[in-house]
Amino acid sequence: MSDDLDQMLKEALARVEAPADLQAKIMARVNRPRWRQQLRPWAALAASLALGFGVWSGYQERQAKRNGEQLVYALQLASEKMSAVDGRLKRSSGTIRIEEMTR
Amino acid sequence: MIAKLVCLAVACAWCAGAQKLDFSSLDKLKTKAKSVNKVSLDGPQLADALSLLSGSDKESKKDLEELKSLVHKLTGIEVRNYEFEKKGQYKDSDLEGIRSQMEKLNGWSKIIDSKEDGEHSEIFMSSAEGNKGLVILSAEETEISVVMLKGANSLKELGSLGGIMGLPSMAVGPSKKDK
Repeated sequence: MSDDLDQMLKEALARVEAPADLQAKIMARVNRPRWRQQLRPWAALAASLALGFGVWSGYQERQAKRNGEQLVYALQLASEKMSAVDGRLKRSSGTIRIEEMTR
Repeated sequence: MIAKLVCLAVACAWCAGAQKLDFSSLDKLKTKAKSVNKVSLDGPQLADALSLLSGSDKESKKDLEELKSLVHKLTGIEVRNYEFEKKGQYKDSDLEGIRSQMEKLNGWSKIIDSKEDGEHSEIFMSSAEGNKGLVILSAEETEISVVMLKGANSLKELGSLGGIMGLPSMAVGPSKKDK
């Protein structure tokens, strides 16, 4: 009986050889390039800048469109008022037209 | 050296103020007006505005080129426009603040003063090099407008825009018969 127990203990506590590729696996993990970790904050920064640029470009375009509308409005108003003056002067005398004064 | 810098700073300040109008005298009209329109565009904003304008056909592209050649000369545009519900909600004297400034501005003179049936229009112009511009004061029964085109060369140029982008046609300058 004690022989059986001894045998069982020997088998249970017998040395198990490590797999052949264990060392390779450990070294591969140890030597994994760290650049991926170093790249993460830069990738985040680049993404933020791209997003910010997109938002800013959109704002600039809306602003330029608004400026264009204001430009057309200003020129229309100026032309309208000058047209009114021209008409008034013509009604006063058919031969009078707007002339620039030269010094 | 310091004296030269001071003189340069004073000259720059003088030039900057040379074509500046103070519109604060018109602020009191805001409460009475049913609609208020304000435009204030400087050189870079005008360039931005032009960059978005485009013509779809040959004719409109040609018109656009003409418009751009005028606007390129402008260094700024100021507009104040007030529309009222009914007559009598403003007085002609409300424009005195602007008129008195125009009289004091160096190089500016009134070239047209026209009145008819309750409408009063005045056009001021400056042809001084580096200080060119056109100011239109218009007081109608239910509308006041002040338009300042800084850098505008002549009435003729503005008249040539007639028909472009919905701008009213207007004959300006000597008639062909007189030439």
